[in-house]
Order: sequence, then structure tokens, then C-alpha cells
Amino acid sequence: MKRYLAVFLGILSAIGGFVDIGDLVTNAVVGSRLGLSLGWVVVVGVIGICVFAEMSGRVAAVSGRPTFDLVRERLGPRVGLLNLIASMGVTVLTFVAEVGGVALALALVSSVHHLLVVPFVAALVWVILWRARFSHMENTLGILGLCLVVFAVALWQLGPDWGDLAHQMATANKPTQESWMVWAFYAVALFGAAMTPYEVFFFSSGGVEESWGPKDLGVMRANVLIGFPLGGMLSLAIAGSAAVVLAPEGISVENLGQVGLPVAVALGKVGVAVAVLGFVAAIFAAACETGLSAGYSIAQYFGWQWGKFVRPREAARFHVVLALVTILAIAVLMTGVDPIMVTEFSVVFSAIALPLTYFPILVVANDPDYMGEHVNGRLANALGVVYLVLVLVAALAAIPLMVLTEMGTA
Amino acid sequence: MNRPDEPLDAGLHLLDRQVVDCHGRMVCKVDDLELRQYDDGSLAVTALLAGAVVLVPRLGGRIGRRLERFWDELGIQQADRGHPFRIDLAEVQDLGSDVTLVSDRHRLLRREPEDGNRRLSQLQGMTVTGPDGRLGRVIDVRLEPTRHPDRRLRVVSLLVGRGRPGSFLGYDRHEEQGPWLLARLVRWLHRHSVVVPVDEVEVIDWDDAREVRCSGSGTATR
Repeated sequence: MKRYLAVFLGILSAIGGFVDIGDLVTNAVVGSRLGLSLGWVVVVGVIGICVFAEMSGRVAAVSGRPTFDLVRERLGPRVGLLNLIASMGVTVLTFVAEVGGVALALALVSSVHHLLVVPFVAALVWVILWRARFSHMENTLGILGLCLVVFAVALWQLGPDWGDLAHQMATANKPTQESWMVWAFYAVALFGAAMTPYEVFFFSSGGVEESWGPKDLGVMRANVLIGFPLGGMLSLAIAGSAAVVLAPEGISVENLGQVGLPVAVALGKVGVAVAVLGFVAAIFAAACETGLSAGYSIAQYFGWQWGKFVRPREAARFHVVLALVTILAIAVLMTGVDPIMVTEFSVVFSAIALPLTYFPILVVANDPDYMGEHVNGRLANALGVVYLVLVLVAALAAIPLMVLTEMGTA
Repeated sequence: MNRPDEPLDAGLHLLDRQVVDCHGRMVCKVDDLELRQYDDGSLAVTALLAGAVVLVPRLGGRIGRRLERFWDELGIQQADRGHPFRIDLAEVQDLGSDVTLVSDRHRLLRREPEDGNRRLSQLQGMTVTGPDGRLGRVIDVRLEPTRHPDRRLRVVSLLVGRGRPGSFLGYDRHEEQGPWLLARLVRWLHRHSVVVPVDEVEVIDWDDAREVRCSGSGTATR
């Protein structure tokens, strides 16, 4: 019974954990501008994150080695360091976006300017990273994040023409006023939002935190293969409701309030209350995860003690990094930069940085010295190679598309 | 030491691995390995080295050299600034996906002078010439455990090829290691790589020409 409860909790927190500020904003923006014509990218991205997370989770469970240990061990200190700098850049950028996102969500209900909320949010994140038990943090916030199911309810309440939505998704039928270039840019952004590198740093390091062994592979797979796709459904519901409510009015999403607007139209005040609770929980969870991921990556590259499975004083350098990253996030947000814009950059840069960590994981997941009998099977390798090509294409296309479309505004 | 019944590759199986103490607490990375050349010319790995002193030079290139000087200048007044942390191989309990030590990490690492010993990273990347000319560079060093009380790992052969150290990604070890496409690509890039047994190594010129001269041309990796 206890075991089933653990599986169930894991799946629930994987659903909530999948959605962060990047998914919320990008899906709503894309839904409002391009309808569901990019819905298939969410599907491709979700399968991709399943492949990636399953491999890194399996490596972590079998060998006890999290992502950045493998990056340095397989690629050496030189390429590993470039990798660390790039991944840290993206993770910290995402962390800034998440902290700003929580502040924006709280600003929605409090009518206080979000800059006044930022220091408190950041301090709370830091206290949780410092004191809270790992499993408590993950489960509580992940499950509260399930409030975002309200988007699926809203979409159902709006009673859209399901045939039309399915048709848009299947035929990649974009509105005629948007160019294919913008469409391609948002395809890369959505892919980056679904396959953010921090999710994998966090997932594999979390596996070591919770001391997974080969016997936990089943639970790990259930979390990934059920939780992430359900999280992807939430993303689609967000895009779908934006497509139904915002697109016909010509509203393009520029703030978090507009992301929640379809829920307000469909379900009124109560819906909004649930949606905001979902925003706060899901983004807050992601803020904790990205903060930890920044600490995990640096500590794993240099070989310092990391993790919340030891007391903070035993992992002093790790906790110093967490504190510094938190201060940095406050400093960046206090410049008055728009967190939504930071989010848009972070998802595109995620797509660029992705191959750097994907490649070494794919290699090590095949290495019998590490994995013994648990090396990649045929399916994992077939999908693994397909996605190696996909992440490379997305990474190479990202910067040209970003420049040509001026971040999708042109 | 627990693992090595079969030969292991210094670069692939030891370098950059996580070092943990007897309680599983993390200590450092294996930033480099100490190589000792004995009077009879034989080579062995005798200790793990750690710290920025040995890590930074491995970054290589202009930036690496600049960082190295910068690191030195930050502690110019320290007598042991240039000495790495050294962990004797006798301290190692187990070699697996990490390196487990026999003792607790508290006050464990000590800076020690290198006393004319070499580092693995100095051998890696060295040009190798055979009787018929250049064979390539040292990519990795194959080791074998010994019964000696200091637990030294004897160098038995050099893996020589055209790529950089680590560029084999482990694909030389197992024939069946996938994914197929990647394995084919890596092996094709390394189709000229050879294994040179240590008896064929005549001279290692550490300081001037930085090259290894051999009497044979080695055998193909497969």
C-alpha cells in the first residue's frame, strides 16, 4: 500500500513538476497567436523529455551518478567546463524567470507591484532550499501544482469545436497572418520549454537524493512515463484554452494575468482563484528545482558534497552556491526586467543548451561498465538517436530564428 | 581495491571520477593521476591528485595557461601553492562508478610536493612516433593492478590515435555498445588508433620534445 502511495505521489508531483513558468507562458503565447498548430511540438517535446529523463534516471538509479558527474567524466574538464558555463547560464536564467513568475502570480492577487514581492519570494525559496526536507518540498508543491488542471476544466467548459482543434494540431494549420518563420521560432521555443535541461539535472540528482537503486526503476519509469505526459496534457490545455478564448479576440499574451484569462471567462472567480494557486505552486516548485539544479551542476563538476540528503553544514559549498544564486536572482529582477521576457529567453536558450547534456547521458546509458544489464534497449536507443538529431536541429536553428523573427515579434 | 580483475583505462575509468569517503561523503574529483617512472623504465599510477593546481592546466589552451597563472598569483605567498592534494592508492577501497576511500574525509586532503613524478595529463596528448613515423597522440593509458603493497597500477599499454584524450568515449571497450550509429561513427573516426604495449615504448621525452618513441607500431584496437 505504502509503495503504491509512493508511486501515486511521484506521478502527481511529476505532473505538477512538468509545468513551470516557461510552459505556462510559451503555451499561452503560442495558443493565442498560432492556435493549436504547434500542439504536435508539445507531444514531440514530452516524448523527448520522457526519453531523456528515463535514461538519466536509470543511470542515476543503477550507478548513483547524476548528470553533471557524467558530463565531466565523459567529456573531460575542458568541454565539461564549457558545458557547465552554458548549462548554468540557462539554469540561472530559468531560476530568475521562476522567482519573477511567482512574484507576478502573487502580484495578481495582492495588487502589490511584483518588485516588492520579489525579495520575499526569493527569501522563501532560499529557506526551503536550506531547511525543508527534499520529499516534502517536491510532493507538497507538486501536488498543489495540480490546481492547473483547472485549465483542462476551463477548456471543456468553453465547449470548443474539438474537431477543429484536432484538425489544427494534426495539420499544423497556422493562422494566415503569422509567417512560417515565427511559427518555426515558436516551435523551437515550445520544444525548449518542454525539454528544459534543469528538469533532468533535478530528476537525476533527485534520484540520488532519494537513494534510488535498480529496484526503484519501475517507480522511476512510472513517474516519467505517466507523470510527464499528463503534464504535457496540461500544457496543451493551456494552449488550447488560449486558442479558443484569446486568439479570436486578437489578444496576444504579454503577462501572467492573460495566461489565466481563459479560466476567468470559463469558470469565473473560483476558477481564477484555483488557477492562481496553481500558478504559485507550480512556479514555486520550479523555482526550488532550478535553484537546486544550479547548485547540483557546479558541485558535481568540481566534486563538492552536494544534496539535501546531508545536513547543510556537510555540504557547505553547495549551500553557498544556492545562497549566491538566490541573491543574483533578486539583483537581476530588481533591475525591473520583465520576468515574462526573461522566461521567453530562457526557453530558447534551453533548446540551445540541450544537446550538451543530452549527448553524454546517451553515451553513458549505453556503457555496460556503468549500467551492466540495464543498458539502453533497442527502443531507448532508436528514440535516443532520433532525439539526438532533433535536439541538435533545434539547438542550431534557435539563434538564427531568434534573430530573424526578433524573438517572435517580427 | 575491489574492481580491477581486468585492465582498466586510466582516462576512462579513473580520471574525473567522483571520490567519496568511507561514509559516502564526497571528497573531490580525480583531477589528475600521479605517474611514477621507475629506474627500470616501467611506469605506474601511484596516487590520485586533486585541486585546482592539477585541474586548471588540463583546461589547456591560452585561457588555461592564463587561468593557471592567475590561480598561482592568488596565493603567491603560499609555499605549497604549486602542490596538488595527493591521495595514495593504498587509501582506495573500491573503484566503481566512483572511487571509494577507506577513511573519513575530515582533514583528509594534504598538499604534497610531486618530487619529480609526472601526471597522467602530461602523457595524454603526447605525440607518439614508431619506426615508420608518427602514430598519433596518447589518448589513454591502460593499467593493470599489481600485488605490490603500495597498490600501484602498472601501465601495460598506450592507446594511441588521432583524436583528443577522451574522444573514444569508451567505445573501444565493448564491441556491442550502442547506439549503433554513434558507435560506428566513433570507431570510424578512430579507425587508425592502435594499442602500443609498454615493452615497445623506448623513450618518453617528458620535457623537451614531449614525445613518446616506440620500437613497434602497435596493434589495431580491434
